[in-house]
Amino acid sequence: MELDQLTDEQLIERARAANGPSGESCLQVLYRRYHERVAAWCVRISGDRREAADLAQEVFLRVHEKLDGFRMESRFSTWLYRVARNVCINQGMARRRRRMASLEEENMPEPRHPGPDAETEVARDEILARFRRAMQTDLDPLEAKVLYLHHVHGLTLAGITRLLGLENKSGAKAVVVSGRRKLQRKFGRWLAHQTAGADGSIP
Amino acid sequence: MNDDGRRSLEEWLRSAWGPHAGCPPPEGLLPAELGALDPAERRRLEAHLRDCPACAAERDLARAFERELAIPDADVQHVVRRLRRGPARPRRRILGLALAAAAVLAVAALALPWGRWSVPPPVPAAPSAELPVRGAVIGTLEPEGAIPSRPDRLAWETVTGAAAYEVTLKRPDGEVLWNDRVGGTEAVLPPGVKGTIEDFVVYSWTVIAMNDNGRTLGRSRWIRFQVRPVDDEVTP
Repeated sequence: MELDQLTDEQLIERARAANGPSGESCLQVLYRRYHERVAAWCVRISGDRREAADLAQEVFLRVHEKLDGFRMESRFSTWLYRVARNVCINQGMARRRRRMASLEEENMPEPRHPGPDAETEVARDEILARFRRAMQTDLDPLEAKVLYLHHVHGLTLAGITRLLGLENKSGAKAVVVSGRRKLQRKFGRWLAHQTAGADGSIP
Repeated sequence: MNDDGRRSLEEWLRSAWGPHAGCPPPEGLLPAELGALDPAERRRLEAHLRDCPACAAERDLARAFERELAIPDADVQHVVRRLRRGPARPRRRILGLALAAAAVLAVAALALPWGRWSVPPPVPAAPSAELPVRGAVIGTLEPEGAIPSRPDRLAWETVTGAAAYEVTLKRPDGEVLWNDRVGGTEAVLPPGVKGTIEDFVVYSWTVIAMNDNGRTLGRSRWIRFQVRPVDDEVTP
């Protein structure tokens, strides 16, 4: 049977059994099947072709290094996505955070923060539960998604705009601004009220 | 935490919005995985996605992985070129190298008696994090990381008792660019190999130390390097 007709998992089995150049051929077929998909995803995530090129290469280097650890308990494409996500989210995050800090955080409204004693006055779990509720009830689904991708995963606003196909003029930036304003207005006020306690001041 | 001990909104978001016990693994949100769920599981997951913005965002990330490109995208093609061969490498040179290699193999095949023809030495498998590495771990290797120009040689530290070292250099697509066995602690890249090394492509290499009997004494991890010229990238 031609290699191109084999499933991903059959190719891996054959590569493991063959080793050497024959095994390499099997892995090359896998690579041909997926390299464009990984490239496109890295571009969508990063929003930057140079960063995407580095990330995509890193994904395939990891795949080749870790393939022995793939136990065939899932589809190969599922495992590949896990590798790609780990590389792009974890590894790319630090670099993107640095860039965000210098370029994109300007003119963002700052929420009112709890003071240093907040966690001693109100149980941290309660604050977090309240915060989660605020995100679910006060934000619309798009704002919640964009805040998550931007602040938790460190994706750039350009990357999120591209990933979600946002077509408004300022893309994800407008969504981040509106989401943060809403959180500040409701959660920030609630938190300020809770932590006004001891000396009566509002942080 | 800020300098004054206050928590920024970003820190609140990260603390509050990590995955919870009820969240599926991110790869479980790939369309192909969702399609394999039975109707009851699918309904449960859809309900969870309505209440969990984090998983809803993860689903968008996962969907994007399986989304086909509607139109050729210049940025994606740039990355694809980098993954394949890099934009600056003339195809003629690839063909020339392939023909040269084929000629050498043909001569070698004719020179060998039938029945003694064997495949080239097996390419060592990449060390897996799950597998114990036997013997020494070879250290102090170069090149590693970003370097300003193509390397002339690969170098590593001595392993006691080693009679030979086998070195393997790979492209990011896993293709073995070069595989050789040397006696010392460095391997000079042949001009034909050095000439194929492209800017901004990430290469990985490893070395295995062997004793007189060919038994493995130690191996290095996979080392990565990338040529990044000082005058930065010229976008095609």
